Amino acid sequence: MKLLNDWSHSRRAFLKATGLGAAMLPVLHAERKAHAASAPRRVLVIVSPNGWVHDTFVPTGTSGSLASITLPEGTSPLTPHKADINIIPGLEYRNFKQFYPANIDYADCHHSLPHILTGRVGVMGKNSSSRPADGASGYRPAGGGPSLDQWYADQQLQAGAKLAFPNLTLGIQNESCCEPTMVQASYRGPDDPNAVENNPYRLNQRLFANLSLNQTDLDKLHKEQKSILDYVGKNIGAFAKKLGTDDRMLVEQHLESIRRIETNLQAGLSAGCKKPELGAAMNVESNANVPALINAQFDNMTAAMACDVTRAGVISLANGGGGWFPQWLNNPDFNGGPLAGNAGNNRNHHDLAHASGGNAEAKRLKTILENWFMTQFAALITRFKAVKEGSGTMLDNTILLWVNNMGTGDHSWQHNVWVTAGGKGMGLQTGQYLPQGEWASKGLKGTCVPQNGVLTALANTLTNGSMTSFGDSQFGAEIKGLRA
Amino acid sequence: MKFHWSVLAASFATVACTGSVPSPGNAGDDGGGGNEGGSAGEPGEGGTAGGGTPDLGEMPLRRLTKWEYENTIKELLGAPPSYAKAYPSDDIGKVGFATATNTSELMATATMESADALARFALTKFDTLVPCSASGTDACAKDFIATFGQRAFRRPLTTTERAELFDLFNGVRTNVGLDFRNGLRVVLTAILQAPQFLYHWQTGDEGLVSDASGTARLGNYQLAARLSYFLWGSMPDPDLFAAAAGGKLTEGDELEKQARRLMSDTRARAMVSDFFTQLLYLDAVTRSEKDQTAHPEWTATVRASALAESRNFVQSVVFDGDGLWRTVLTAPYSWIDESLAKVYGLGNVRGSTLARQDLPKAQRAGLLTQPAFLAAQSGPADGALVTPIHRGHLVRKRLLCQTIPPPMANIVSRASTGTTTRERLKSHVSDPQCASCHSLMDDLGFAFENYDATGKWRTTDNGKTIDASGEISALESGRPKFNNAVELVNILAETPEANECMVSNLIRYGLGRLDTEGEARKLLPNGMGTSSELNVLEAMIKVVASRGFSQRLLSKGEVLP
Repeated sequence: MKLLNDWSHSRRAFLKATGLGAAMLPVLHAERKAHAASAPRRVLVIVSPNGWVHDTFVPTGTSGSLASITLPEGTSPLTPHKADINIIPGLEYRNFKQFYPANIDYADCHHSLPHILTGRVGVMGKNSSSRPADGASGYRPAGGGPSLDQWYADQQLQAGAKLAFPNLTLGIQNESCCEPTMVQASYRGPDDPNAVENNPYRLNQRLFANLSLNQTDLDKLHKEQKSILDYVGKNIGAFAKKLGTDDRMLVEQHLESIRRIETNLQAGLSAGCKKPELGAAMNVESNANVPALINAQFDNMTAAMACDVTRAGVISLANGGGGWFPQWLNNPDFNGGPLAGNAGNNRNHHDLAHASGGNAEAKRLKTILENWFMTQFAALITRFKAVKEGSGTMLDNTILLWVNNMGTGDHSWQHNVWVTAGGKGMGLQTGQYLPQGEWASKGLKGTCVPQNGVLTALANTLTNGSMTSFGDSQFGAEIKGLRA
Repeated sequence: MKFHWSVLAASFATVACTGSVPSPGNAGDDGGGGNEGGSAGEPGEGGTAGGGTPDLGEMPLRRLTKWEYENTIKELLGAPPSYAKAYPSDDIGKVGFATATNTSELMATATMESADALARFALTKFDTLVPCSASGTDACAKDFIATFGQRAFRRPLTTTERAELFDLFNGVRTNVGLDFRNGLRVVLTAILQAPQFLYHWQTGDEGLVSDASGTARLGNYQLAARLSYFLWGSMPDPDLFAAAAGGKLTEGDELEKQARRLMSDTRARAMVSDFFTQLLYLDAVTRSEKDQTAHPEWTATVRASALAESRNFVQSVVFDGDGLWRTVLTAPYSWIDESLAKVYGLGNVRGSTLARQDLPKAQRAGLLTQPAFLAAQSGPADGALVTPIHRGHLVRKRLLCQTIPPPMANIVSRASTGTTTRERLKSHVSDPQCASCHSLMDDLGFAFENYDATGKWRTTDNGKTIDASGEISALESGRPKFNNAVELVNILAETPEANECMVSNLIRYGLGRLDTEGEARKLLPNGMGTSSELNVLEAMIKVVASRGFSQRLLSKGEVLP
């Protein structure tokens, strides 16, 4: 596998970080090799909606080390992890915008989710939210290719990795009655979104159910399952042949899912793998339970990655227009009446976003919420740091990436801010403030750089690759400063 | 039909909603793009299903929805609903009703786990399911495969299908060392994951009769399954299977007779509740939490009762009352328990059992004045500007079958100042860019301003008297005016577009495809019809008796057996 071949980037990064000289090289070399051999590389993307209040989320100044920067209120929960993160403002989802006529801005970022991680121009298909009668503004394209997580999962499978769930796509209330483009951020291919598991308790059972079986029983179970899947696969194959073209594609995807399950049957859980105890199951649809549900999904994902059940994942918080009402903060200010000049006019996350353009109180409240979101991120980082791997932690071998479907609260496709954490062990430079485009000089009035530049850097980091672009090549090359 | 970007761009830049309201029956609603199984296409492709054959459409492939799965495993194995919990959830598809989407790995895994759990559950009643089990012979296994298989696949198995399942049985007995019971458990697990079980499509020995125009007639077993899943959300019962086996469903009016028989069963009551729940997204009320300071009484219990109320109400009108769509829209009574009585302001209701209560006629009329609709479509606090917009949008979309584009990007907050919600939404009327779309929904929504975020009656908003008057715009049949919600729903009950839309919805729900141009109108009593004639069950019977139910267009690339 590729990840074993080249550790030079990691070594350089390690040396740089520790300030150790060349004399120590042989020792480090050996250590690093042992480390790399036992630790897979992983990528986990967290998606949240409604943009950020830039004044209180993004540090000021030009690019440089975060060490000397005081993080503003929104991102301040990340302060203990400053050395592990990067804050990257000035990005834009140009691949989403590109779908629409150049002179009209129909790029409503409720629906940007399918495009954030694919870096490709979207396509109309079964999973788009389209309304022909609405004309151009009604077209909400589905994703145009594999998202970063799926692409990396595919790379791992091709390299021979045995993973029970090559790509694990989870959500917390990431649902929509009628708009697939407000839900799925992870795509297997064009118009082919991965389904999201919103129930952490069910997932926990599914991921870790067979931990108690001995090898003989497990082998028997696998044989039995293989026989069944052989039968099912054969039948679906024959069934698909009779169908019309479109239906056939649907069923062929089902068949592929069955084949993948079959391939992955033998991928057991590693020794010492422990099932996270989530406590009593809670109502997964209740707003009040959001913090508990986030904890449960973060626990599941951390364990799944630690157990090498998966190496790629996405966790989506709410849907593309999510309106969580932060009752768990017990802050009476969120219960107050309508805010003047507010298009949504409630004090939930989404409506605050609508108002946050010009309303100071909306900005203040939304900042409190954003601080809470970043508190969740800090807790996730802490979880990954708590898993020891070789001489470091799981965080060193994982890229955590937090993205938002909007730039600002007014649903803009521009001025997005991405935050990464981890990845030091695979050569990702961290601890940096990396403004893109004209962010540093002009802020919200400046031009932006497509997010493809970051996706390319992360994809190359994950695979020690040298791709010139991720997604459609028209959206530019890797941004500078992320890889050592 | 192909749009050209430039033309669209020009027209949309000026008035965003021009031409965006199709007449009922056109593709539109939650998507369109032709019928659901139609080509993905590119922007601009779409239009009505069926093309040149007006009342026929393709039969897009559908997987059992979660509700259908729950019903089917109950019928098939006597399994409780808890066994359906892991089965993948549905999406609202382009047709506007629940549809199972493509089967991802996670979903296939969930289906596998459900099948495994169900097969183990079946072991607890093995001797009933396999009467010959004591013999433990191959012949007994073959008998089980043929009889159980026929119920699960909803048609007799082909010789090949039987042989493959027996091979599976033999294989696991030999290779894994399973006993007779567990061998059949594996067979059952496989059947419950087979496409013949999971998908609404009946292939096999029963061929489709097709003619040169690409039209196919459904066979007897196909009709039986289509009928039972429409009217029961479940598999055919023994009577219906027997009618299919005798070839009767393609003869005379036997299909209609069977439809009437199915309608008299309690399973049809559940279907009617399901239809209306999906039509107005009523189940969203259970997730619709409100500002607890203003509405401490709005608990999870009340929310559950609110859904039960509306589900019960539609059943009582459709099955125990006059059955008219008009009454569903206008009845001044509902089914209320003590918790809901607080929302309704009724002091004399006790206990947690829903009971019929007469309501003040000036305040309440039918489904749209019930908390399930009102609260689910309102924001979490009173004064939320989204409330009239969402309520009005849903009426426009689901009861008039018209479409409003979603908001454009980078919307600048342009709320006006004012005391009431309506005043603060004035900019939607005064600003032409807002008005072009919002005039289609805001007026309809203001009609419901007399109901707060939980559906409680009120006469003032922020201390000022509520103005709930307005008119229904963009109808071919006129611009009727109303003073409040009660008047609005009474007008809707007599509006031809609303009646045609109701039939469109029944076609979409029952056939799993968009209705074709004029298809719904043809099924209405007396041409355009009025709701005093539109009986919900009779309209469903008409759908069953229509050509579109028993025939379909062949899909592109389809291979006939």
